[in-house]
Amino acid sequence: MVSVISTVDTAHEDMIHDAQMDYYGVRLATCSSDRSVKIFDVKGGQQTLVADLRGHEGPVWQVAWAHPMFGNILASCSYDRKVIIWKENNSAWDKLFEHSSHDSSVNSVQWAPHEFGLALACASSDGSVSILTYTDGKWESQKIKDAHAIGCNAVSWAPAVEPGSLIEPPSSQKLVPVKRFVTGGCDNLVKIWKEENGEWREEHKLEAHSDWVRDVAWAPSIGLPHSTIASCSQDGRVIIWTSDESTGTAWTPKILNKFSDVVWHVSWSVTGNILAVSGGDNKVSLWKESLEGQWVCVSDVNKGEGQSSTPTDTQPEQ
Amino acid sequence: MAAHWSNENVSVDYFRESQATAMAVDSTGEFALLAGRRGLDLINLDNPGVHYPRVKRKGMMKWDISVVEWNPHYGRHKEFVTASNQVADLYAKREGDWFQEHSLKAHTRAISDLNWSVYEPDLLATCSVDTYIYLWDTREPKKPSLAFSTFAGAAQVKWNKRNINYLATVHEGDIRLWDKRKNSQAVQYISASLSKIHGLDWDPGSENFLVTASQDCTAKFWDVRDPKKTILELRTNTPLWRARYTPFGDGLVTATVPQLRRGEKSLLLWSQSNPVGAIHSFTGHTDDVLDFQWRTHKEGSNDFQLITWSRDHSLRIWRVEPHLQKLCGVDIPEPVSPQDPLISSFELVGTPKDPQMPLNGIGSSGGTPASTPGALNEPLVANGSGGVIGSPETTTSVGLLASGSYSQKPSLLEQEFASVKINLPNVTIQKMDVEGQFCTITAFSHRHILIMKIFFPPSYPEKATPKLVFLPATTLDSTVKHKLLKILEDTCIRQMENNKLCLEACLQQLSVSIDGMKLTSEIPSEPPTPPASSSYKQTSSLPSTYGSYLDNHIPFPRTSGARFSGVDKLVVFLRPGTIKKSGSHHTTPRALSSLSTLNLLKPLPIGPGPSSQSPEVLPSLLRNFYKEREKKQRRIGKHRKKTFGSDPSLPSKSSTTTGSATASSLVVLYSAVGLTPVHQELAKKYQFIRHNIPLMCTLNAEAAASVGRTDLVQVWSLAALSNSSELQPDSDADGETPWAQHPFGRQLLQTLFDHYSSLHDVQTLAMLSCAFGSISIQPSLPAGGSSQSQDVKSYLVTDSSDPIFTKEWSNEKSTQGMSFSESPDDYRFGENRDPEQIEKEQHRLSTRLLEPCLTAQFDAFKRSYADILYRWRLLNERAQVLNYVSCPSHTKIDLSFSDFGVICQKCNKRSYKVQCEHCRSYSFQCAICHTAVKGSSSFCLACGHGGHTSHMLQWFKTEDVCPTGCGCQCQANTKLVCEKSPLSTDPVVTR
Repeated sequence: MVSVISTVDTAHEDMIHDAQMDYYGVRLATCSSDRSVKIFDVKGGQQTLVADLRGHEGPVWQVAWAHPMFGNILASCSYDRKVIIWKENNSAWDKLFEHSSHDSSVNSVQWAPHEFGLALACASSDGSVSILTYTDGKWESQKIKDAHAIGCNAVSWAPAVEPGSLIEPPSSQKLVPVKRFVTGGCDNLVKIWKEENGEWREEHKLEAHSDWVRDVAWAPSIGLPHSTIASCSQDGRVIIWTSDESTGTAWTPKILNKFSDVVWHVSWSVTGNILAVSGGDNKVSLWKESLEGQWVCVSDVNKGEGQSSTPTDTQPEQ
Repeated sequence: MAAHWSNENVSVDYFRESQATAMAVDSTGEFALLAGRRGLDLINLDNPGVHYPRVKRKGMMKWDISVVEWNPHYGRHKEFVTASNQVADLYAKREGDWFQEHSLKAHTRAISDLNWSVYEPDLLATCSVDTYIYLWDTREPKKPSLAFSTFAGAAQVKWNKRNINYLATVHEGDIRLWDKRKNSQAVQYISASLSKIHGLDWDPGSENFLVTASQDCTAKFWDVRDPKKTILELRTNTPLWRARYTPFGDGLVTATVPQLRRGEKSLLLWSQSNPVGAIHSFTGHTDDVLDFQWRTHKEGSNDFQLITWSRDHSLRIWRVEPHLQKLCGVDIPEPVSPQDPLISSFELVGTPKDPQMPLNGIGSSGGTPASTPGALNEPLVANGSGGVIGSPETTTSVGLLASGSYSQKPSLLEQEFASVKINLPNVTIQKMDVEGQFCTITAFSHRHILIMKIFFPPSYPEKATPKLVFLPATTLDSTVKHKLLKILEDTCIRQMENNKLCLEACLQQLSVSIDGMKLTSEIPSEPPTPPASSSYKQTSSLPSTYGSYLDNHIPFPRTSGARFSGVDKLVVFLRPGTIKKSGSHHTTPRALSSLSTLNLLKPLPIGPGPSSQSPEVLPSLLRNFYKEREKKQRRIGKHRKKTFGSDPSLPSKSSTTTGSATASSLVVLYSAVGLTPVHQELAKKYQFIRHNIPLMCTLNAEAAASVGRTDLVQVWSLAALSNSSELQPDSDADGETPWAQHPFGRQLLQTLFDHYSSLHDVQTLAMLSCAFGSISIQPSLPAGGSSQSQDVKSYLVTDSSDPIFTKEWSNEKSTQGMSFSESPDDYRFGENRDPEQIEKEQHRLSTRLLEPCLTAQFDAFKRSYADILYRWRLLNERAQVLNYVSCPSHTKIDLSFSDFGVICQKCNKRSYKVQCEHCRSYSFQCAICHTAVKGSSSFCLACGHGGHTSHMLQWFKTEDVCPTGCGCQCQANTKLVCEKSPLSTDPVVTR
């Protein structure tokens, strides 16, 4: 089902914690415990190191690409409590902004849908979530304190499309999309936040996990009148939350699977029909919702443990 | 092993008939009191064989005694209080006999706990499940002197041991902190646990710290100033009943919840500096331990005794051997000074021998030193309870240590902190806390990191030396740690003997010592790099340090992951197979802190590259973590003790580290083309022919066939039939039923949409929306519209180097603003129309094959597909799709000229909209046909002239100057203007 396109040797000196490609899927950004962020061009199976970004003073946990309409912008967050925003200017990468208002490790960053302008949400172990917005040449920061009492591990923005508005008859008054995002934290909760009059409010509190929530991912919208969120936890569970009503008031959980070890990553495909799950068992599995609404594992990208990690060995069936 | 460790020396087990349920040790350490339903038995702890007459209980004998506590105050040691059901009874010894003096009756349900004030001998707090917490002045036993009310019943009440005003109560999983001066509401609220908390104890050394014992098998340490975080967590396998600080070092004793009948190992001794596991288990009792207390310890001796009472009806006295105390951070060779703050607090109150050290500040509001021990208790006795409570209020309005007595010391400490000026390359002060009387320092020595907490006892610097404790993140092995501690403590003692302050000398000594250590270790030396000054600046206000136990809220790092990127790429990074964790029973820890504790005693391997520096401790730890697991697996069945420090296999291990360095840095890109429903080839082949929908459908069916999507071949064939010209709707509303109302019309189409929605096939959904949407939404659009608008796009985008607007946000906005491909149809709705028009409109809606109500959804499909095309960089296709979007997108809610203003042709006022804001007429006139421009328009940025895009295209095919005759070289000038970014000003375009 999946095939190897290329293997990139990032030459990081330590464990890699995140790897993401840009909007077009031509550039790869990686970050590692060696405190660096690297950017590669991976056109046509060839990889070229574009930039080796140094600036963090601790392991870098996550990177995030901004929408290309804003330029080539990358955000990274680290154990050193900082979020750094990098920008390419004339093919040179520089630090654009450094955000250091958190009191503990920043675990997750994600850019808002481009419809909302340049806005970044950062989740930190100090329990807060900060939202950086770029307006009139300035970075402004908003903070939700105590978003998750013990610590916030992940953040993911909702698509700019209001699912409820899709099935209503067109009205002359256009709906302004509402900013929302979902967070997961050490209090085992998944929380949905909504912006109202410039203030962030907790809209929903989703309880189902029995241990720290490690990652949350709001599924992209392709125009269907419902919202979907995936969350994964230390307890090994991956839960798919759906809100079918146009008002989005109720979220129903469905356990996708229970893994034997921590699950720390969930990622939706661009059409929102496939979920990539990865965790402490060193395996990656892909899940797809069948027409009957059941989640089935369609592929183990890698058997992980017990296998050598050389790319030839890990190549799965075509 | 256990036999050697348990130093139980006395066991008294002939109290079987007493059926005692509670036990307490008095403040002199002479007696233990066993309280049961039948009566109260005194046991002389020095001579347990002596038999004392049983103290009779009066009144209700049917209730067990739940709590018993001696008055901890000097001179009042012959008083105790018992609680049974709703009543607390005060007993006192008068002329050799024990009498029940008073009964405290106010609670309406069983009393769950009581506690004497540490500072006021007449003040007693009781709590109950009736949701009230009462304070009693024992001289006024008729009613409580103060009441705190909550929603939930309280299980524990404990006075702060360092602050006269504060007390804490436990309510299920919450802790409330009260100030007795303010009984209306709790001053602090800690949501400590989701499960029930059974026990609470205040740190005898500080007013800010407390520990809880909880049903969730943890003992948690809290700083009441920062209630959202636990400082430290000790995990056990059983629910904890009590957790109490040891009177020495940084130890803690925990007991398991009685009902669980675990017997063995229910009583554990821990050290805060080593939170991984208990350092000792008091084994011997054959049944649950009901209660335990420390016997007040004789001055000058380091003989600490733990008294335990168990359900097996034996009372045991355990001596804590020096080596155990050592593990709790006590330096044995030096007699522990009685002023040490970690010695239980009541002793501190009871043995003030030093007139220089004013105690407790009660009554000494001006900060004048209090006086002799005898005088100490007098103000307490003299004052009524209200007075006692009232008087210190003036001095202690802010927090604990302002409380009279200590007002001098912090200032001394403050001075010392302020005066310390170190400029050492390898030692950094992370935090100085005058209130908490400690500071945290870190030191780097080659690959080692040392994190040390220095506590300053209240009697420092006159009487006591600072207490030094290594925090768990320290990477030295224990022998080196002890050596270092010894050196530093010697330094302190020397300083004290010379009447000098300790901190600075200590830090100097530490710096020198670890430098020396480096030379002795076999690791090739490397100058310690972290610049002390800068890192201090950066972290001074922050409590945590790398890899410290404070990381226990930071999730364990991900070492593998998979992310979808672009449209159909999957980026995967994995922990290489060569470094992996062992057997299936091992799960990945959740917090980063476990990394440091797991690697506590092990030196770090040499870094992987030449650029590695000492702050890379953490990453190395992470790699070590996985390394370690591998090693454990190899040694299965062998001796598995943690002796990493002396592990001979270390060199080979560091070689594997370097070997795997490349393997751990691989990122694999997968193509998920087969999995995602969208198809790039198909996207390229799909056609958009606005004026001939059946043809478009037929061509698209061929395109689908060419990429093997047979289902889509059928769909497109069907679409071609549905769109055939014979089925075109009658423009007359009174004609036959439109095809859309036929079951094969709208209904059929809707089922197709439902099917592809469930497949998330946004490509098909969007293409169908385009194909069926166009015929009815824009029937009047001129032929060739599609190719035309495509040209508009490429014509307007003047930046040839990168057709996707990656440069600036404003670029995108301006280009969007320049091509008005959106339909101005919406503006018609606002106008008044006659009924005939309305009927026509309804007919128009009913002829649509697409459900009119769902227009927004069809547009969302198109936008979503357009986004995917954008990711593929199929810009023309994207523009084609967007041309079919019926209503303006969110970002362009107002159909306006965006950054361009025009002077309205009618009223000559500046307008930014298609329709003039002032006269409501169309504001922009085409330079060719002289009619209003409603749809797509193009105009020159230099001269502002322009008109219908189609007319302009036609004109500029042959001409290069403006059609109005103004002489402007429009094409060249516009390009020029674009490059110069004219948008900084507000260009008003006139005709």
